[in-house]
Formats: sequence, C-alpha cells, structure tokens
Amino acid sequence: MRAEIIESIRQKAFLGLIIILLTATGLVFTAIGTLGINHLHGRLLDFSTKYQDEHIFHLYDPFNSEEILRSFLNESDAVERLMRFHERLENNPYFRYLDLNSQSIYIQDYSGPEKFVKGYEDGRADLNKPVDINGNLYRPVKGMQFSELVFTTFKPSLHSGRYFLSSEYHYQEDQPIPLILGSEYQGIYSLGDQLNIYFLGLQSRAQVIGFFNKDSYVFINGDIGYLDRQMVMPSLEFAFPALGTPIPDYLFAFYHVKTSGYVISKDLNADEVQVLINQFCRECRLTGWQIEGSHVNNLDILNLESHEFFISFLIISVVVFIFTFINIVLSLSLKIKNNLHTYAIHLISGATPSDIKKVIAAEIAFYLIIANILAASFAYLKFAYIGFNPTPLVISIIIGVLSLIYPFHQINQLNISMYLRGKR
Amino acid sequence: MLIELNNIYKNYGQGDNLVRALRGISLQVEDGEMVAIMGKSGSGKSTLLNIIGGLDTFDQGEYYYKGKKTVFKNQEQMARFRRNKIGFIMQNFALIEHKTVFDNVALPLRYNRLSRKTIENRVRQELSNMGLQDKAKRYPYQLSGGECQRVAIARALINEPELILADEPTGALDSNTEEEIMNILQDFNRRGKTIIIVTHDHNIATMCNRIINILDGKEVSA
Repeated sequence: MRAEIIESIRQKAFLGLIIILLTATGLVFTAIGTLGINHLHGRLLDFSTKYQDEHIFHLYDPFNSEEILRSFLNESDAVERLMRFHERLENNPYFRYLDLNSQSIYIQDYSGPEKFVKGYEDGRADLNKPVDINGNLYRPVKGMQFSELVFTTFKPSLHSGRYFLSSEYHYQEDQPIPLILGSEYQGIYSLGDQLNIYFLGLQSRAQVIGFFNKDSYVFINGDIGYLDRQMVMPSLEFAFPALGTPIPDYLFAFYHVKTSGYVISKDLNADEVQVLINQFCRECRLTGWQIEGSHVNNLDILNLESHEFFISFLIISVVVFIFTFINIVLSLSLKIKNNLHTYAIHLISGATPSDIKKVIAAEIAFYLIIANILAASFAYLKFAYIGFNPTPLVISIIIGVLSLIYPFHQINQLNISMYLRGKR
Repeated sequence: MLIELNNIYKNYGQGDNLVRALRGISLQVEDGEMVAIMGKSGSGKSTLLNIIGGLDTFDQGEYYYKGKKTVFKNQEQMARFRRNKIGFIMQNFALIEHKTVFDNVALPLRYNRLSRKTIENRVRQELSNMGLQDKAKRYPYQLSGGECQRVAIARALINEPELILADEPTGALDSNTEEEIMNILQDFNRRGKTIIIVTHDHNIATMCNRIINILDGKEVSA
C-alpha cells in the first residue's frame, strides 16, 4: 500500500506541488484572518464596550533631547519637584492617573526562551544581547510597571499566586521586588523563584509571586497590550533621601517614567485635562508635560479597521480555498481518469475498492499535511506570538473530505471489464 | 461442482438502448475442468465470464460457487470474492506499464500483506516456472507479446487460485506463441486447476476438455 501511495504522489508531481502551495496560501490567510478576528478584534470590542464612556489620555514628558534633560537635572531640587508632580497626578480630585509603563527588566544570567526578550516580535531580540553590569551579565526581557490603580481599572486576572500588596509599591531595600509573570512564563519560573534584576539603574533581588491568566491585557500605547509574555513589577514609589544624603541616579529615571502614564476621566475633555496638567506643573515649578488623546473611540475606529482588514483576509482565503478545492478535485479526477486502467488491474489482482480509495485519501492527506506544515511554519516565523490556531487544520480536513466525494464516486462506478478490454 | 449458474439474465442500458446480454443461461463447471466458452462477438461470452469472475453482477438467476449461493451487494463483496479464488488472464495482458515484471507479478501478494521475503521468493519461483527469471527488472514495453502474456499468467497463478478465467488469452498473439500459452494453461489444468477460456477461435477451444457455445446470450448445442 505504501508503495502505491508513493507512486500515486510521484505521478503528476507538479500538480501536487500546486495543490500544496495553494492550500498553504489559503491556510496562512485563514490563520491570520481568524486569529485577527478572534483575538484582536474580539478583545478590542470587549475593551471598547467596557470603557465606552471613558476618556483616556497619554501623558508625555518634555525631555525630548539630552540637552533638555541635562539642563533639567542641573536645576536644584529637580528630582524632588518631579516626585511632587507625580504625587499631584496620583492624588487629585479631577481624574484618575494610571502609573502604567512598559520598560524592559534586565535579568541576570537569563537562560529562558528568546520570545520573552525585548524586541522579539519585531525580530530584534538578537540586538538585545546580554550586557555586563557590574561584572554580571544581564539580558532585557519585556517588562511592565503597574500602579495599584492599573489592577483595579483593567482587572487582569491571575492564574495563580497573588497581586501586589499595597506595601509592595513602596521600595524597601531589604525586600525583593515582587513580580507577576505572563501565562507563558509558567514552567519556566515557579512561584517563589528569586531573580537578580537591574531596572532603571537599580540593582535588586526580585521574587515571582504570581502568574496572569492567558490573554490577560491592559490598555497601553493606544492599543491592547497582552501580558502573556510580560514580566510585571509594581511601579515603585520611593521616599525622598534625607537631607545631606546623595540622590541616587535611578530616582530620576523612575519618576521620569512614572510621570509618563495615563489620565482617565469620564467628564473632562482634552483641553480641560491639559489645563489641569499645566496647573500641576506650575505648582511644582515644571513645564512642558503634554497629553495626547487615546480616547476609547480610537479603539472603535481601530476595531472597524481591523475588522475590515481581517474580513478581507478571510475573503481572500475563501477565494483561495475555492480555487484549491476545484484544483484538487480536477487534478484528482484527471489523475483517476488516467489511472482507471491501472486501478482495474489492481482490482483483478486482489485489491478492493477500499484499497484504492485509501491510496487516494492518503495522497490528499499528504498534500494537506505538507500544506499545513508549511503554513504553520510560516505563521510561526512571522507571527510567533499568536500561538496555535486550529481553524486552518479544521478547514483542511473539511476540504480533504469534500475533495474525496467525486473521486470515490468515480471508483465506485468503475467498470473493470470495460477498462481491461481494448488494446495494450 | 465448482460453478453452477442457473437461468442467469443480464441486461445493459434502458429503453431503446437496452441490450439483452444474457438470456437465461445455465451451466456447470466441475472442479479441475478446462472449459472453452465460444461464440461470436456480442454473443455474451465475456459478460458470462465477468459474472463468473465477480467483475459484474447479474439481474436474475442463481450463482453457486462450490455449492454456496453467491450474492453480491456491492463492489467490496465482489472484490473479496475475487481475491485468492480467481486469477484473470486478459487478451491485452492487463499489465501496469510503469511497473517492472517483478512488481506486476507481485501485485496480488502485496494485497495479501505477505512479508517482503515471502513475496520475493514466490515471485522468483513463478517467474522461473514461466521462463522469465531474467526478465524480472524489465518493463512490459520491453517484452514481446508472448512474454507479456506469460507475465500475466504468472500474476494470475501467483496466489494459487482455484479458478483461472482467461478472456481471449491468445487473441493478441501469433500462432507459435498461441500454442506456447495454451501449453502453459493445459499444464496448469493437469495440475488440477479449473480453467475457463473465452475464445472465438475453434482451434483454441478444441484444446479444452469441453466447449460451451453461446449465441445471443443463450447456450446452444454445438
């Protein structure tokens, strides 16, 4: 039987190749289309519905160049003013301030998978090689920093472990920094594992205290930010150093980041929020912080665009599949028509119609398996972060089964004696 | 009794295109007989052979094989009936052109799921019996008509079937080769196997134990 299957595949190998390529193309389009609609569009819709009445604004600091930054740091009590500004943002009666940032965390002697390394999805993980910090090698992994309000606003759920305690948002030198890891970290780290980290100039111990559920997310940079491959730490608060003690460099770095979060309000529009930000700046003798609208309506537009984008992918995949299906049926019918004499010989030599059908089914299965492997490999290389999608596999099984109907009918109708008569 | 057909009818087509291929034919073939079925073209002799061999169904009548009533509900049942019981020899040899002589002869053994070594031994033996031991790696298009028919006979015999059905086995051969093929079949019959040959050639028919004449789908006396 195996010899017959190989022989059947070898005949008209070019047609087989076309079937494989067409199917693989269709499967890739389907994978992207369905994943896009199921994951992104679905989540965006969910998010839009949940935060329909909210206005979200991203706060940007004015430190656009080294010169501006240096000039600011040269000012007396610059860091202290920055810390006061942050406090003002967090404690005001007008809006909620989300201390939410995406800064990579450097892990000492990191030996985990590349997918967690900063820049992996953009194909830039290789650029983020281990760096020597004080004699040890550290590698940057994707990280996020949440204030307590981030958890109460977006409610990312935990698979195991616990959330940060209120006290853990305040840095204590003798305590490890708690970490909650994305779902894909399970099996790589366990609850209680300790790591040496380097973050914004601060070297510290950290400890894994929890894991997020798969597909947990927050809203960040105008989009849904999945936490599956993220290492999340508290957005730490620091006490201002006592008079006469030096101000550590990391303090500026932390509060620089912490004053670039998100403003959420139900009632205030962009102008009103900007007026308030300017007022807070004046109070702290600062200038230049600007907001940019990340209104949830943007998500509706994104939703609509992504919906249309992925629907077009699905339409293309349907067209490709129709071509593939017709191609499989026609080429198989042609092949079977050419092989009817051979099948008739097999049938007088001990084969049953089922044996012949098994060869045809195995041939189609071979084409579809190769096409699935190609499509999955391509999808993995290009969209490694999207994970497994069973839809292409299900579609190829349906195509395979439908493609068998006509060839099987031809075999059932085969008049053996007619095909064994005639000339050699 | 190996085969008993009672009052077999077979029609093809419908309405104006209706062809009455067999019209109530009955016959018996004893185990170990060599029988010739003779008749003109279109007389129904090949249809009769197809029904005996389980290649075709009949519309009416009864078919007993070794005393057991044979009823085919579908192609699978017909195929299972043919497997191991019947060897077919066709006028045009019915060899697979892109398979070697060895692979053509080995085909029935492969469907019996025999080991590679058993297949190798039995095919070598059968090719040797047919004087084709040095042709194993050749392809059918590299052989003469007589050699092709010997390959076809080797394939028909390899499973040691109870019955050989030959449809004009010498129809495509010259007279010398014709005699050679008939000698092989006679020798096989002498070893106790039953053979039914369809032919329109009287010389071939006279080399058999018995002749059944068919005209318009019915048996007629000689």
